[in-house]
Amino acid sequence: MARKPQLLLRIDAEAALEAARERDRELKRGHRRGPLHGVPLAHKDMFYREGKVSTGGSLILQDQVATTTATVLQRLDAAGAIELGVLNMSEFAAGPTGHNVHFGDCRNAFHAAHVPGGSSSGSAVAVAARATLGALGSDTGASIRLPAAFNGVVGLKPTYGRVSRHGAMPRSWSFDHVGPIARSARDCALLLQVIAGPDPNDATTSAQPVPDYVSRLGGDRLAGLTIGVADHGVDIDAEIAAATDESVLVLERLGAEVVRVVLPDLAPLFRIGETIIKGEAAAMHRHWLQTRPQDYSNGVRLRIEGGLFLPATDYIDALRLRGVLTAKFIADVMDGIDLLHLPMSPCLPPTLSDSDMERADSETLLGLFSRLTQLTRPFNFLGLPAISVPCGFSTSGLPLAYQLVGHPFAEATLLQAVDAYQQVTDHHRMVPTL
Amino acid sequence: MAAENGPASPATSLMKAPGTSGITPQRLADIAIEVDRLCGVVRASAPQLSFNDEPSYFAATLNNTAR
Repeated sequence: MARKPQLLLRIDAEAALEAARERDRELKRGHRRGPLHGVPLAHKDMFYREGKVSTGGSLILQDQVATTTATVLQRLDAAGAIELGVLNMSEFAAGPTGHNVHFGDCRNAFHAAHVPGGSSSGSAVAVAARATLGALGSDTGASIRLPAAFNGVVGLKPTYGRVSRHGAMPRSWSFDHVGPIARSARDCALLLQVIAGPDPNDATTSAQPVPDYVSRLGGDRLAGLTIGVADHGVDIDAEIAAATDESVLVLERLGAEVVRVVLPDLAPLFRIGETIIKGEAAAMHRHWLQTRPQDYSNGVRLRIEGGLFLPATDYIDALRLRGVLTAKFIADVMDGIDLLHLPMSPCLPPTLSDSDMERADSETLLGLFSRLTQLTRPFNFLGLPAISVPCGFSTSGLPLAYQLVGHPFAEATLLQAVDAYQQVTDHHRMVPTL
Repeated sequence: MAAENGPASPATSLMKAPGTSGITPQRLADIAIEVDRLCGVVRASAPQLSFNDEPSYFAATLNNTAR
């Protein structure tokens, strides 16, 4: 029997209404808190708010009340945003499909039989459904970009260090990126503007200056921009390939210079990254794996427990390799181009039933999950900013997307390119029939 | 002189590590393959490392190549 569909995990109706009334009173007094004054938002249920429960999509955390408020929430509050409630997500932010055995599966906004993508499933679906202007996601391997792609909205994984992770439930400290999901590049820019920047509570944040993302938008030409179209060697679904090829032509018509770029084999970046993710996840979950193994879904437990057996030396070498391989990738691939263009996912979103780890053969599904993220996780390893952009629909009505990758801290360039693209396309304006 | 029961084998020690109590021998075999695969990729790439390479080089690289 199918689990019940679930988008919201908690609605804070009274608090949201009171906050809205307060924002109205402030406006009448001539006080505007910031660029998000009165804007309704909701996020996947993993950003801590003092005094509230953040389940992380898990049974284990369902009674855990946060004792601190995430830096990103503090910044959104200060900018005037109103939080409507919290959204569904993959358990412990682990899983690219959006299944959740504990709270019910989130469904694709455009095709209810298909997965919404994970782990920020609720964030992407809520934005696609126009339930909220934007939402925060977290991305350890694809978790902002994949659900954004599968639901026809924009998802931005910033550079590692651009946005604080303080108060965000961890999946893998070295790979976790917090970023916005919204319908347009402009809305993503607005949200990133508020949340980006150094944070004394997160030592991994960078002191790189935060540019004015929003004011740079609005140009309809990409002259002077060089986009490298990746020869990635990955087998891509024909409809996705056609749509991403078409997006290159659009970018070229906007004035970008398009060149071909041969990528190195991404598989080592993927696997070395997996070593880091598994090692860190196993360390943080070890106590609960010992004391509450029955409270994990099979899928999440299977994906974490291998990390219990990784030698520390291999984990540390994986971390050491990250700097070396990132420097090499920037020198070999990114030098000479401003942006790298490639498909988001090699395949269309599978159906919920065909990709349910609790029912199907786990080895087969782990292979599918690797395939879903093979063009995204390498950029978590490299820490480079990457954005998922809607570029059409399949014949079955499922959203298609391409991905742009930028130089470190070049989110402004990514947003400018996508904003120009969205001025001459309307894929992001398609509204699902719910 | 060895203890009467002998020292625990590495596999036995691993199976007694915190968090591993629910892992069956069959599952352990699968995990061994998985760990070998991951470590194999890391070790194949490790010759690119020099003695002085450290994890913080990653963040420094991002900051030093910022655009």
